[in-house]
Amino acid sequence: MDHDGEPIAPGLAADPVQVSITKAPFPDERPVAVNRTSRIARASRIVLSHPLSAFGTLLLAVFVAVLFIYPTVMVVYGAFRTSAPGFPGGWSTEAFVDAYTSTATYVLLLHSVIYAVCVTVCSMALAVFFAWLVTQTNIPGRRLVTPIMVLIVGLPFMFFALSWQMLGNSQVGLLNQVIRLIIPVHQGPINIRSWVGIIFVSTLKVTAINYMLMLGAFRSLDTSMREASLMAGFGRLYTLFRIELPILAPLLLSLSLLGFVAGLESFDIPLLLGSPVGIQVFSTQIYSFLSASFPPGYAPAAALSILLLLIMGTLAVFMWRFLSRRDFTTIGGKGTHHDVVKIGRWRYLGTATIVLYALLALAFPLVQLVLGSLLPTFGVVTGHLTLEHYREVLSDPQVTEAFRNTAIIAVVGGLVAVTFAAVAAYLIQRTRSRARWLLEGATWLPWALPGVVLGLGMLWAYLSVPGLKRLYGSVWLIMLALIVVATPVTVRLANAAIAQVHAQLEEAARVHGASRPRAVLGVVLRQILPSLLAAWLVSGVTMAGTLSVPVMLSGPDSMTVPVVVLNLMDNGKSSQAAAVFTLMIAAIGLGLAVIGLLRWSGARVLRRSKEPADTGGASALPPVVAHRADAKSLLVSPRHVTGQEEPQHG
Amino acid sequence: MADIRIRALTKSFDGNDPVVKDITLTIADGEFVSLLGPSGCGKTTTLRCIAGLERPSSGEIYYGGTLLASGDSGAFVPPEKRQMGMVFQSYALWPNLNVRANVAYPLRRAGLPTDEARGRVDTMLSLVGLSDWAESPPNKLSGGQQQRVALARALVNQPRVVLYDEPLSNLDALLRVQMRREIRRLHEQVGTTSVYVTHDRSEAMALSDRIVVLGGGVIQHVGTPREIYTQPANRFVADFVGFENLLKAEVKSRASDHFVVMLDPAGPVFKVASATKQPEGSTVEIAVRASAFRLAHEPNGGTNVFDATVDGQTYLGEETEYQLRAGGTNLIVRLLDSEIRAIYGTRSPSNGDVIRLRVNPEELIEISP
Repeated sequence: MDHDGEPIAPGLAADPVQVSITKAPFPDERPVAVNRTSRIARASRIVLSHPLSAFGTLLLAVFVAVLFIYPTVMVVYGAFRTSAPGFPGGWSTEAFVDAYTSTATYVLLLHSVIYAVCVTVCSMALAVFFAWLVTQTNIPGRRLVTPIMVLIVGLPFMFFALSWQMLGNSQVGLLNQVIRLIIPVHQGPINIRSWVGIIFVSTLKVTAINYMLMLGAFRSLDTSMREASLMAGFGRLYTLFRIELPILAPLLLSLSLLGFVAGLESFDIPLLLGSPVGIQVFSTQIYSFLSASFPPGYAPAAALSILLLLIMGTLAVFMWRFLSRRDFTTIGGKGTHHDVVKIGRWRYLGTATIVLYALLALAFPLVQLVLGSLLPTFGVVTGHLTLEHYREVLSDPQVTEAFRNTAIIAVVGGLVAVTFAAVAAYLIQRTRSRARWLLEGATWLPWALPGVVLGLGMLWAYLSVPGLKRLYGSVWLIMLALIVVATPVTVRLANAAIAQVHAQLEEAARVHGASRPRAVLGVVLRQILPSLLAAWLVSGVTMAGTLSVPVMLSGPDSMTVPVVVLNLMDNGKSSQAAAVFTLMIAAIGLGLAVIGLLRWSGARVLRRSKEPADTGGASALPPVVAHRADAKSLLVSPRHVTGQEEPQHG
Repeated sequence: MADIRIRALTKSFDGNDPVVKDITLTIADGEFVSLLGPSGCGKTTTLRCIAGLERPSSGEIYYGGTLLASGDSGAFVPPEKRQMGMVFQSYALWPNLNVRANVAYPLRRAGLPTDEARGRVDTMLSLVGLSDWAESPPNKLSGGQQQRVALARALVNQPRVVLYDEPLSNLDALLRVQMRREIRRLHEQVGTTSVYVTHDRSEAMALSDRIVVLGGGVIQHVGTPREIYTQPANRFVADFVGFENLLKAEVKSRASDHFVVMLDPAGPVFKVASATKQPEGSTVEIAVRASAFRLAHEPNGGTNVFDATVDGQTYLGEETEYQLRAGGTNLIVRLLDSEIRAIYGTRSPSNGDVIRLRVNPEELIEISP
């Protein structure tokens, strides 16, 4: 056996989305590892016997090299050039030395770290609290939490930045205006353009992401763990802190690490809320070297990027190793959800928290955005509403162009990203163990590549090659970069989907006479298609809503909606910005509805077409028993086949 | 008296049909009682109500005169206040604690001095033979070892009541036998009241002072293992405890201590060694185990001696199971291999052969429907 001791089954490794690692209690005395090893060995036998996987791995390597590695290297190159990308220039260490001898750099580092830590801690605490409320208590309104969280996850970071900079504007913010009706102060009392404000708004959004990532684990946590502690004489709260949270600790820690990394890269919210008053984090400082100085400071931006890259690289290695070591494999098992805590008089406090969160993170921002787009003058609340701003932005060719670009990116880019992710995830799961870690690690790389740095790297990478220069300013370059940005998430989603299709289903198809492509397409793909559709939606929305990459790469003809909105904001056209963004959110909502409808009807078609195949016996397909993940459970956490819940009324 | 009294317990989930219906049962102090039944019969739910992990929909549970739960008044003592021990089907060992910490956990509540607690944990671990594994994480242990840790954890605080929820169902056959001896030994050694849920009748037989057979959420039969095994109260129990032959028969004659039935017009006539309330000419149901039959030496015509044709057979090693036809009646009969060899030598009966069998009147049991 070429198993080298990793305790985790294929595909379950560095995978925060798929947290429901399950271990059915073993029916005999065999140690756990033996069975796993044989499974890995079996999986490797399938793949090694086929050249397709070698080709696929090569393809993946090229993809990684061209899209991740090459731009990263070019960032380093750029730090030592005196000229802008694509222009002749000389070598110089001036920018590099300047950056690393200046105290400002280290102050910036400190600020970024404090910001990331604060957001991570606050959002994790809130997410744990909500997940606990939803899975273990009977408070009113708990069933609404998950749908609210899904919406918040779906809304781009920029939405929160944009709406909250309106809501919490110390002069004309809607929230401040309302509060001032009660408390007589001239200004404020809320000033969102502050460190506290930025941390607060970021927390609102990140909480939802963390919640979705941990909900599955909370749900599938073996309830007998809790019950055993109760029987030992300890109350619910003690049990939560002594048993349940420690069991979830590896997951919670890895989520914190992921969140910290994402926090260091965070761009949209600090840019819109902080930059105007001089609050900078890493990403915004890099951007401001390029946007706020003339000529653009490419070398200082690149020098700063190197520091960020080094930190990220270290964290990424740490994260990767840490995630792959996670071996508390007790999540799963029989679950009964009858024994919710009746928390009595505290329940309404719980409900109040949910309502408050829903108001702050969803309702207020939405109302502000829509209202802001309809009011004739921004910040002056009157009874008179107008569609004037919509007319104005829709007659602007740049705006309509941006919508077209964004749609292309979301649809085509999302499709490419998901296709790539599906192939990568398939190879990750059906390949031998050692190569798996490399593949897995490669798909994590972009997580450590901040959007701004990636954008900068792309500029250097493609403007320096004569033939590729034409790509600059085109929507395709932006799409390419955004695919890279979306990769960690899409691969995780595809991974989770494929993990649900047991390798034996594929083997059964082959034994019964299906060729390999037919087995893969007919069995695996058919099972995971609904999940991939959901992944397409997720990546499309992510790509459409991302600001950091397009802001670096957009030319006049290749702007995306977030870039247009940023420009409008910079020109003080808040109402118009609100109008454009409202339209974008409406478009996302429409897309969601269409995909939901497609999935629904698609599932019906699949179900209908499956029946004759099962009963007729003419097809080479075996009866398919794997569980199809729907979009929601996919986001939360797909249950591994063995971890299916069974009602337990002995 | 620290007995558990369950009165008219009913439990339904989310307004569905009750899974436990009107169960009344008293479990004496120090008794080992099994709740036996097929899956979905309500046995685990009953146990979880005793544990406090479920609240009864109606009915009461008392422990030594204290009201633990009442579905009607809503009174409820939470599980952590009941001071019972429990062994879970999935073992439920906490992966974040090592074996010692798992076992020691219930003792924190008891507030024992550290030395004494440590001593008790060590005693418990050596009792289940896991002293060498004290510092290992539980998932490094095999299934049987994990179950022993769970057992130690349930017993360490010397609870008056220990609840077992199918604790051996995930173990293989050999280990199951070994573990059930251990459970019975610990029960006697620690002197607890034990309530044991299982669907395995031999497990229930081997362990229990009394068995409660549950079916469809209601009690079908309460009795000692021997009573359940030899005198099942009804068809459900007879079927569940493994009477292979449940035969319709007509009462031909009756006396104060026995009656005679005819299986069918062409079939054998059996004497049954008990009285019946049914009148002559009525139909009764007779249960008889496949292992109750013997090969007969006596000439045809003796009491309960009959001929049957072999329809099929399955060789099981120590014994052979025959599918037989006697007149119009199909019978399943298991005969010891040694008995067959004693009579037939190497030429054992093949399909189509006629063999002569005998069954004791005591082995035939009238079953109420």
